[in-house]
Amino acid sequence: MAVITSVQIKNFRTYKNAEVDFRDNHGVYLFAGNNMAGKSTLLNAINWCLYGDILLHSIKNEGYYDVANDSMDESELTEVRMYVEIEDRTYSFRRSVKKGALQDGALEVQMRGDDGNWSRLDSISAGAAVRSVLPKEIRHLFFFNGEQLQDIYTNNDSKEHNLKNNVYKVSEIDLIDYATSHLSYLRDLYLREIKKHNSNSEKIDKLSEDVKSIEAVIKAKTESLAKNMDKVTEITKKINDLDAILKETVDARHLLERRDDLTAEIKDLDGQIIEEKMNKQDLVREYFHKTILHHDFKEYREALDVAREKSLIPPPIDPKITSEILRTGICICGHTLTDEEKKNIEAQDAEYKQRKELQFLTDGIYAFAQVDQALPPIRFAYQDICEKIYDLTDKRDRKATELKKVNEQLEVMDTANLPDDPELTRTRYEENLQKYNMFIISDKNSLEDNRAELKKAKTELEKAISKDESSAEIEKRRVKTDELIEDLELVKAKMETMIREKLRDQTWKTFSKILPSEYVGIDIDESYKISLVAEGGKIRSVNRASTGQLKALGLSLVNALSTGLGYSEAPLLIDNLYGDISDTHYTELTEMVSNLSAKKQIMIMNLDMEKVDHEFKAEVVKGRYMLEKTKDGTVIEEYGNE
Amino acid sequence: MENYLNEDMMKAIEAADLDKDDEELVKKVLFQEKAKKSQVWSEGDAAEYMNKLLLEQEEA
Repeated sequence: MAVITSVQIKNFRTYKNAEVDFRDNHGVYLFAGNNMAGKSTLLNAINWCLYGDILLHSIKNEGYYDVANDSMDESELTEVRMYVEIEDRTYSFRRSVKKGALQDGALEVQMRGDDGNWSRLDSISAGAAVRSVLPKEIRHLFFFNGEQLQDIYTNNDSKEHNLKNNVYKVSEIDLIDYATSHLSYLRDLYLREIKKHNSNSEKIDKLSEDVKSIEAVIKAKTESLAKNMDKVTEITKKINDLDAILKETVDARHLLERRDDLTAEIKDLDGQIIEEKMNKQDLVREYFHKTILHHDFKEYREALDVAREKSLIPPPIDPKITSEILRTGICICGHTLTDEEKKNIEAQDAEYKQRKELQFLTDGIYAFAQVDQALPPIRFAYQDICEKIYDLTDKRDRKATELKKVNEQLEVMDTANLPDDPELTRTRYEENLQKYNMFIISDKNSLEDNRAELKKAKTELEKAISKDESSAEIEKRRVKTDELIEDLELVKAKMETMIREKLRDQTWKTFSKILPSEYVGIDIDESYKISLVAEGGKIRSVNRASTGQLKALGLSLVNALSTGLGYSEAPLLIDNLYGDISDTHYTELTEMVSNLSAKKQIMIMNLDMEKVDHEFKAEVVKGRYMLEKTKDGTVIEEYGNE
Repeated sequence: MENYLNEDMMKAIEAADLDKDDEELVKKVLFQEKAKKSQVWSEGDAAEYMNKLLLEQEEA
């Protein structure tokens, strides 16, 4: 594990004299400052110190760069010194250059011994120390611009960003390629040697040419076969993606129709429920009135009879009795009165009192006559309505739940990427697929013929060579070299499979933590193309992920390459982490950086300290520094320290 | 030498299930390659390297 403990910069671009110390061997270190304050320059200074060139492009112009500070004296040096701890040893890396001299300057590496004294390392050991911090060929995985983070997994033509290329370097599969190429060269040397001493040299010449040309044909056909197989994989994926989109669209259409149906049904049920509730209200009211009349006038009629006999004015109804009866009515119905109903009943109550007693009485008596017969049917009707309302509400609730589910499903569906004419596109893809499959079959068949031809030519060549005893020894070696090349190819195939699985598992380990649960894995195919795996094993394009998730995927890959494949931990130095993504997508990226920072130093350059500081939990951030360009060059100050 | 080749490389060599002699030779070639990584090879280098390896094997 390499840990930077301190960086000192003198006369490097905007820096006159600055220093920064890192207090912990892991965690996030935030640097902020305006444009041109020296953020990228700080990263470039670290890179320059180790490798003597410039990596981040802000101060690189058409391949030319000048590391000198504009106002430095001719007699002064541009100098960057770093103290780095590597596996319990402290190293000092110091690179310096005179103004106007070659920009890569000279690197001096010292190591502190157990006695505390520094000793200078020779150039080979110095190179090895730099490699222990970080080998130059994979440094772009550790120094990068946040805006280009997702380029890590895209297989574009750039060698630096090509994932396969990076994997080969980190895992050292490239050693096998080098070995194979060197051995092929050696095999040719042997052959030349054999020809020199052999009496059958003309025949050998011809046979060697035959072998070479058949080998060239086989190589070209193998490449063409690989290309065609890649093409088939690519088209098959396209068809799968298209099918997935088509299926999703069909599903979406069904869901949209279902949503409309459900909305209409719910609206209709709402209408029915309101209607039934009004009916219920009417019944309740009717029941109240009849109950009131029934109770209220039972006694009143007797009083009235007495009044009639005596030709007296009928007595007024006691309001207390009315209220009492009202309550009884409510109890019978089991109905809780709404405020409005209460008001209405109170109004009616008042009306009773105001009405002419006689008329009231007549109504009452008439109503009373009906009450005994009317009440039970009303009660049954009430019960029916209650049940009906219950059923309707239950039905409505079920429809509403279904509607909610439909809406949730529609929300996660992406129907925007549907091609203009998907069926036509699909047919075209299928035609192409058929074409390439035909090519593959033809390649395979003719390759078999060519291999048989090669075997025959090789046997003849061997015979021709072995006729001459002086060449026999070298021929033995040539054959052995050939076998060795085949063995190496076999080892390479085994290693490729293993490394791809390892890269996949290690990347997923960190990436899965910030992805929604609908994804169950990632897939890395033979051409190192990365896809997401959804539930049921469906392969989905990574482009379905948000920009924040894609950048987090880039970081996961960097982490897998740096740790999972056996390489030691190196610090990550990131310029403009949140470059080109909107702040709604910061979360995933922040979480990923926080997770990784538990084991390594991560330096992040950003424009706004408060904004970036706000993203991270306080315990994750081990240092905050402000960069400011002053007349004395860029100064680095701890943020928050007055 | 085994320690010098990375763990995955060793596993891949094992998984290739080669003859013991061939396995040793593959390891030696890769070990040499790692040692010489980033150096330019001349004809002499290559011949010397392979001859040495094969001689060692024959002697063994």
